[in-house]
Amino acid sequence: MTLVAPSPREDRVSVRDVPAVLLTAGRLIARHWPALLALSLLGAGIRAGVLWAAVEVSDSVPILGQLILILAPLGYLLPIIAMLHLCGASLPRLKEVSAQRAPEAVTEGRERRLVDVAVSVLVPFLAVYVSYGLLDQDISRFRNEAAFNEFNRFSLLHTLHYDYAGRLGIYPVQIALMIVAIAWVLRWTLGRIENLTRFLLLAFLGALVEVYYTGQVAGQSVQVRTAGTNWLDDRVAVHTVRSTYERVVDHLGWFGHPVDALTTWVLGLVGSLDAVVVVPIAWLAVGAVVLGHKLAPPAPFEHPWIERLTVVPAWLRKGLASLLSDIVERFSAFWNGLRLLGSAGLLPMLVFGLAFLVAIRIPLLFSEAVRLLIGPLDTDTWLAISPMEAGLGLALSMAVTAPLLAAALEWVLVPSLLSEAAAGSRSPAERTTP
Amino acid sequence: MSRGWWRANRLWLPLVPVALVAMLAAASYHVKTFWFDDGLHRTLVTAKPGHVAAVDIPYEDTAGKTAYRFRVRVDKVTPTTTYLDSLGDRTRVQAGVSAYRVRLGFSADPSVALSGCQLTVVDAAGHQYDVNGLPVSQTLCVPDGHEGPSPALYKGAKRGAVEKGHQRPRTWTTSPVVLVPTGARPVEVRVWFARPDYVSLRLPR
Repeated sequence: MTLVAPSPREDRVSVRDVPAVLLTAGRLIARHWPALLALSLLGAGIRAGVLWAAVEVSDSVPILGQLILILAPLGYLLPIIAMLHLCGASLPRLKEVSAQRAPEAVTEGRERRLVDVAVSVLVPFLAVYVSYGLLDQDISRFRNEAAFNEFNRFSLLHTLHYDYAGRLGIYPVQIALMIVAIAWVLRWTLGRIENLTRFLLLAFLGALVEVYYTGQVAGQSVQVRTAGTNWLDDRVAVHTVRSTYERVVDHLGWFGHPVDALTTWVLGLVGSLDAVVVVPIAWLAVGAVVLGHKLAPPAPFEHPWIERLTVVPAWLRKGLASLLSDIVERFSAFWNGLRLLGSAGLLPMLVFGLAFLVAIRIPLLFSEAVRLLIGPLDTDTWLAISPMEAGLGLALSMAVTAPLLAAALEWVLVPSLLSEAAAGSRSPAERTTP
Repeated sequence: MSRGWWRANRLWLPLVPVALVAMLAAASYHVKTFWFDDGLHRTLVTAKPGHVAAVDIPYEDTAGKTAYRFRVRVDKVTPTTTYLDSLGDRTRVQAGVSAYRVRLGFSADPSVALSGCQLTVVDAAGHQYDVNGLPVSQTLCVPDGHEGPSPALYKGAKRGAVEKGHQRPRTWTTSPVVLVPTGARPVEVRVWFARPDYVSLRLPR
């Protein structure tokens, strides 16, 4: 069963298609709202439950607590993937794309699946997750809960041993890089084993390895940004610029006020660039990978520069080439997605960005609505229910994001995808990289 | 909604409330700390109007396991026009406020520590009013000057040590005053030591 949508022009998509996208998204919501709500509520529940479990487990096994915490973004990503598939099945062109056959996976030696290119979804998804401040929220909430738990064991009856650092899992950058390298080798090894044993579950284990290392890297990026901001604030040059600016504004007298207001507005606009530009593009990349990963070209087997390393024994060269093909393949869907977004043109994407802004603000609007509905509350009582309110807001935002994304893909990406496939006049599975 | 819509969503629709409940349950990790443990939410003993509540609340202090073990009854609740303020001065009740003197009758073994006791009055609408005991907090449940023993609060402290002449009698009464907005009618007195546990003493209607 598909939604009847007027065909977009075969050439590039323009801003005039935006109402059609919104209309399609509205139809998707009307058709699928029970499924969208159920999936997004389950996802928000997973995210909250994972956090709870991480705090409880970290009390006895700190490293396990951190491993569990890394799963929190999955509570967002998995329902989005499920909802995208659900909506995609209702849209004619996306349906056509998902009916295609994917190329063979280089390491596993079977048709490539979404789980094999999990990292291609995770990279843009974590960009969204970080931009929304959700990762920051997970980490700081976990730290807050765990530190409170640790502190709250205070008792007159026993002498206690506090262990904040051990529970909170804060790694230096070098260790994070080592984690990435180990994860790449581990993922490749799992793929080899799967090739030999034909045991598909290993692919999902491999995807979890990718969730873990990309989560670590994203966590690092949050820390680096915080540390960088603090470092900048401490610089004399920054201080000089700031105080000079304040002196100038003071000197301008009555005129200083509008000048200051304008500066604040411009800086705010620059500051919200990631919400307006990065988030929608990253979301579209997530959607492009989830629904269009089959169209990504297969990874190359040949690596000339490895072949030239004659000092290295041949068996090691072969292993390195295989590992490299593996890594390249796992990112291939991501690059392919970005390329497609680039070919669709920037302007319609920026306009969709505005539509996404509404989806992003839903938790905030929901929070205001709750405030209007239930009236003033005791602070502690509000603290007790605030995770539930946050979960509901997140679920509603997810339930709107997925159909919006599917509709945007149907109108923006898929036309260029299909025309590309037609121009090549070969099945995408047979295409190879130039 | 067409028949096709109902057929396509027949499995999803019942899942929505299930998912909602699951999500709320998973996000309920603050409810215990910030709501349940933060208020009077667990009734240990309930006594009907005029009846005696036999209370036995186990707890642990630095000297080991023990219990708040006593019997309590509301003798009467009478309106009053004056009360002792937080500085201990006798003060007239202001306009818009009603004051009630709650006379409580207690009996307990003189060795039982009861000094940390608190009182809360509940009105017909369910609003709670804590009885302001300062600076005479000791006298909410125990006789002034004869408080009896305190719990052992530090390592090596002895429970039940009472200065000479300050022993508590076996039975006694206290008469704290509670302030409520005019129009609020007290229906229940709660005697408690640590939230969320309390003893509920119903008042005659």
